[in-house]
Amino acid sequence: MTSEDSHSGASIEHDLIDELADEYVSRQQAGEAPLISEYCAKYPELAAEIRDLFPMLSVLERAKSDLLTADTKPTPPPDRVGGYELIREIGRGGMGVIYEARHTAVDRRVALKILPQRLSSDPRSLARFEREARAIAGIHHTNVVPLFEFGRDQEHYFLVMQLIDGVSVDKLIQRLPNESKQVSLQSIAMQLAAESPSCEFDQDASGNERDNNGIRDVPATRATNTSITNRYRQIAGIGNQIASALAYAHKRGIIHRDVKPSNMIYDRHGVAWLTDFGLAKTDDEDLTQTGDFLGTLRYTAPERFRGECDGRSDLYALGLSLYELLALRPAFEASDRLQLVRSIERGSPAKLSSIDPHIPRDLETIVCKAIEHVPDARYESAADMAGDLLNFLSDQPIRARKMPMSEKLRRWRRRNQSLANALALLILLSILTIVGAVAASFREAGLRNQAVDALSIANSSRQALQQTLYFAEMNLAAEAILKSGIPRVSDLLQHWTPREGLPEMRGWEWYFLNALCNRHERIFTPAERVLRFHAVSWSPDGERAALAQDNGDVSVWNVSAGSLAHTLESPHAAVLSLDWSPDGRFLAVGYRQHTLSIWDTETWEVSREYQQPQGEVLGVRWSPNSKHVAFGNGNDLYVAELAGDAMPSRIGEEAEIFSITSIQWSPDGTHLFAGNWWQNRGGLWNLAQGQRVRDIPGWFVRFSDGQPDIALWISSDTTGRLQVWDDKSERPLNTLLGHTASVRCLEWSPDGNLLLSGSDDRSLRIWNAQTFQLQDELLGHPNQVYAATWSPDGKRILSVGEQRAALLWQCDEGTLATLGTLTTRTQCIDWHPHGNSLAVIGRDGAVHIWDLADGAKRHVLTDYPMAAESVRWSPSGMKLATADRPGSVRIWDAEDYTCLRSIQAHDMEAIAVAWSRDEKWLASSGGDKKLFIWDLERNERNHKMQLMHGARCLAWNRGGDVLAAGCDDGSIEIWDQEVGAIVGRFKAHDLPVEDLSWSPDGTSLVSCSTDDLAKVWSMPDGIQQIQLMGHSGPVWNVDWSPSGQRIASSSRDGSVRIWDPITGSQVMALSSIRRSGEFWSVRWSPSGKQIAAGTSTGEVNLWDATRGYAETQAGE
Amino acid sequence: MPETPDEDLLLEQAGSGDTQAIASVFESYRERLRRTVKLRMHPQLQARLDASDVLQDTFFEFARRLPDFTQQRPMPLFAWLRRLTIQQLDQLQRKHLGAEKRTAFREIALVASPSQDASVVNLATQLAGQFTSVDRNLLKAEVQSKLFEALSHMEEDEREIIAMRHFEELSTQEIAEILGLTRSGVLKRYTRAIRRLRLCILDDSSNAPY
Repeated sequence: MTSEDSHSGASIEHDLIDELADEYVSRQQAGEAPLISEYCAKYPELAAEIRDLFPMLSVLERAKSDLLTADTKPTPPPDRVGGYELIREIGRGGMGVIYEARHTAVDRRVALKILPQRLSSDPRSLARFEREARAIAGIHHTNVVPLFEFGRDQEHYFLVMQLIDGVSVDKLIQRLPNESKQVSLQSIAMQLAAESPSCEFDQDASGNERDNNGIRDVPATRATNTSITNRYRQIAGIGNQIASALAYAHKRGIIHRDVKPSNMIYDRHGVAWLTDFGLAKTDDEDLTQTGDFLGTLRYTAPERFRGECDGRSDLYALGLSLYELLALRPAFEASDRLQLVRSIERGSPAKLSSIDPHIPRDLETIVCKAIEHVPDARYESAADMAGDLLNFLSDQPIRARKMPMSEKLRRWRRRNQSLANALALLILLSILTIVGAVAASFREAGLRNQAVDALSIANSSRQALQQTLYFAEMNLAAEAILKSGIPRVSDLLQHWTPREGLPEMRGWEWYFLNALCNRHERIFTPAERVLRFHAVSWSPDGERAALAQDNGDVSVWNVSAGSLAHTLESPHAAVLSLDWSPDGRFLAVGYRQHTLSIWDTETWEVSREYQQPQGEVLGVRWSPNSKHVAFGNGNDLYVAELAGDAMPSRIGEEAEIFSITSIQWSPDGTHLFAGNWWQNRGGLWNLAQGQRVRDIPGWFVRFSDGQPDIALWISSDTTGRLQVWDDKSERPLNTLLGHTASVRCLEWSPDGNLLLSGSDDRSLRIWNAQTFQLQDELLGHPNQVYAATWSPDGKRILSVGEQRAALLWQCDEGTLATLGTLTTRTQCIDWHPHGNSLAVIGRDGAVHIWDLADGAKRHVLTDYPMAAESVRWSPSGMKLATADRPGSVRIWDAEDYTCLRSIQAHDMEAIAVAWSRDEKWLASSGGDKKLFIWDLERNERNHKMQLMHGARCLAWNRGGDVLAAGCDDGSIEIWDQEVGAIVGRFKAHDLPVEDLSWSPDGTSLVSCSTDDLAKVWSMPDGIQQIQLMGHSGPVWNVDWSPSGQRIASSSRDGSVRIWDPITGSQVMALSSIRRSGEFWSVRWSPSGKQIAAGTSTGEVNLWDATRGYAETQAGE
Repeated sequence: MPETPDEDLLLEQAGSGDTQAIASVFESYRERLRRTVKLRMHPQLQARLDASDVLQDTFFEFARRLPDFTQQRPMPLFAWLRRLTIQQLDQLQRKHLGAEKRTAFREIALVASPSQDASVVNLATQLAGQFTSVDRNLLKAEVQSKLFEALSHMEEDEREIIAMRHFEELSTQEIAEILGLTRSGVLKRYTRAIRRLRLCILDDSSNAPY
């Protein structure tokens, strides 16, 4: 094509300039630098137009090809990067060098990854680095190394992540062949971390747990108790944690693509972490550049050679990693790439059971299923795999099945057919790598600009950074509360108490977590020389409690007043056990120095004392009739009769083989069960026969009602797992998962409906004694819990442990407690304006009123024929309005719940009602696509509007002059009451708008929809401000907090999420304690301190931060 | 850009299964295809999706369908490759954005971009960066919003032509083939679009931005 081409007619000049422009651009794209003046000289008649037009063309070209020339000379690592002081290098990979660093202002140790200089001048690597950051930033999961920040400091691009105190799993695998299988993975990990401080993660600031050898003291009893089976369980535990992290990521559309042992970190608490998200792509260039191609290829799923990749490819890689952990050698070994691919393509690695016959069959089956050649034969999702590993861990039947031989053969044939094709493609891929690497460099100006923009924005303000960090840590804290315990959460919370240079950032989530950390009601602190309490017992009237102190004294407290009543001093060392007699007369106290004393509770004198030559009294218990006291002294069980002067008699002749830590009387007083928590053993003694009649592989029982028979028994292990066994069949009934370390105390509630457990993991848990579902967690002990016991009325719990305080808990007003169970779904919730009651609609159509102040007493709105769709309290709280399926709108008296008015408003179902602030107007909408405004003063209809689409939700602004209606087509209509017309309409969502809420200042509106999103709009113009992205299912409800600082949303995905309305960041995710179903509704209490949310299974969850606010006020 | 005899030969070899030839053919278009992808990727997805992912998918699709293509030659090679690329991008975008949002995207046709919105936003961002790096007096946000407006109000095919000519580096002949227009028709629309764009930038600023 040349400029000589011409056409006839009037447009000839135009055609010429068109051609010239085209030529000019082509020359530029061919690498020439044509001069505008050259064209002007050649075509003077067009000069003006050329000068007008051509510069624009150059600009367009430059927009694409502009490249900053990078300084490529290597520079030593900086001392400081963006507010962080680099301490030392701890790791190195193709995509960056990882340093241990310290945030100088906040004084926190972190892992900081810096993109190498050679890569930071390459836009492609920059983009990848940025993408890694974005990918991790969206993942808040306990098993994913959290990202705190990403940014740029001059020429350095960096990511800041949590410093994990552990070792990568590949290092663990290297070490395992040299270790006995008796040793737990945790201690090996700790040892490794101590040995190689320079190349892996070292201890964090709290590393004082180590002794000089770098190995934490592992109690001998536990080490010998760690059986070979425990090793396999620990490996399955790693698999379960990584699979659940993958499930979480996959749900968000993020595929890891480089799951392998070196990308997993195992920490000293036994937590497995997944790292390097979004870093490695299948893109061959990068893999070769990092030099770790073989390392990655080994775990590459066969379908990826065909360019297919989905979540199941990650499962394959996880399966191979587990294979390697179990077999202690890679599934596929080969020295070069082609050979490796060939063996991966050929298929099955050696059978695990042939390598190690001890590997549990079920675990082998799970791993085999994960590494199936064909993706369809693997687990469908990471969640499925996590679930099956959990089945294995809880000794439930697993879902994976072994494949029959015929199927194997069929697959083998198919596989070998495709081998040739796959190899051909692999060769292609290799060629592509070489050609592509050359061609791809330095050509993406636009991309680079984008990355630079994003980074500089992230860098622009310190406060924005702090805020990002705050949000990340709150998400982390919410995740950590169950797994890592209170101290970690308290640490995280303390980072954010305002101080010099740190403005107030805390919102509801902080106070809620603070409340969780401070659920105990009263703390009993003893005299100074006491370090810990070993045991606790209530007086039968519940007025007093006795605490066993390690200084040899017993302190008796008035519980209600919280005052010390008596101190029972003794010459003996440490008190290890005590029990108040059921008639209240005596207190039996067991001492470390083989002594049991009976104290008279009227005179507070020792009325009797039994001493043995040796041993210690770890367990003591009165008989139900208060006439006998049973106690364990070392290995021996004794019973003393209170009447008479006889010495206590030892029951059973032979020396027993375990120390007695707990004793239970059968209800009829004829039998005794004694057990030991750390040896996980117990026995049943028949008192009449004077001997042990049974041995039980557990240490706590439930007797049958009124019978001396054991109905069930409970066993435990060092991982905190409790198992309930049926005594008749000797089969496990239930596995109680939750605790993460040894359980030392168990107790049935006085009514027998609940089971209380206390653990070394610093938590107390309450389980339903019928279903063994977890009911509640009590968090607040800074160290191990030694003993915990119910008050006689079952409403309170006292717990003690390794701290100078005993904690008193109220168990009927738990922060996480549910209000009770409705018969059906709770689809609509509304708080009374005074915050003392809730109106809840069940799918039974009834409106239930819950009086929170009055112990959740329930009223049901009667004479209510059909399903209610919506219920709203009037702003004064005097009335209630309802909309129901037959189409009527009703107004109720909130005093006596009588119906004041009933309007047959809509031809079809009435869906929503909304009160204006002054209670002058009531708006209603229905399935007939009509919107009504009712004048409540004049008792007449004020306006009637026919809408294009039905409105599912209505919300008046605070002034009561503007009503927003969310419609079925995803639009929001704005009604102006003064104008008396729809004044605005904007498209908000692709799918129906489910709920709306105004910001308290009336300047913004938040909407949510079945499209999984919530969006914040500035009003009245309807411009989108921010999207709240994170739910993985329809969002049913949104609610703006009364302070305006937060938004809560509820979704089918089973979570309630808290958001920051300015940045759109997720601040916290809450889920039902029972992990049951979806959340239909969510509403803030008028005080903004509580959140109520209804689930599809009919529960109302109440998350209460009140105590957190009170604690903070008191503390500051 | 007509296919050169060399390329014809290479294509023939590729079509008969010569793997090295397949790779070389694809490689010669890789950069242009990458731009196609970058330009058209939905901004929401840029964090999740990388152009390399799309190109890799495209490559495998290309290798699979090449024998059929070389026999029939229904359109120029690049036009076909570009179409494959856009199809792969669109598939990935749908997968990521979820099926419900299908309405947000137009059904894919031979010509249409899978996400018109995306190309406007991306175009505006890239151009705005250019203007501001040249003239510091212009605020980036201001320029960007002006460009955005100008691009939004432009005829769809004019906007497409600018994108193809400058960002995908297609020749006017290739553009004509893709859009089903005559070459002179493409040229006319192209200069008209450039003039409009220029006017919009200069609108109320006396300084020329270049």
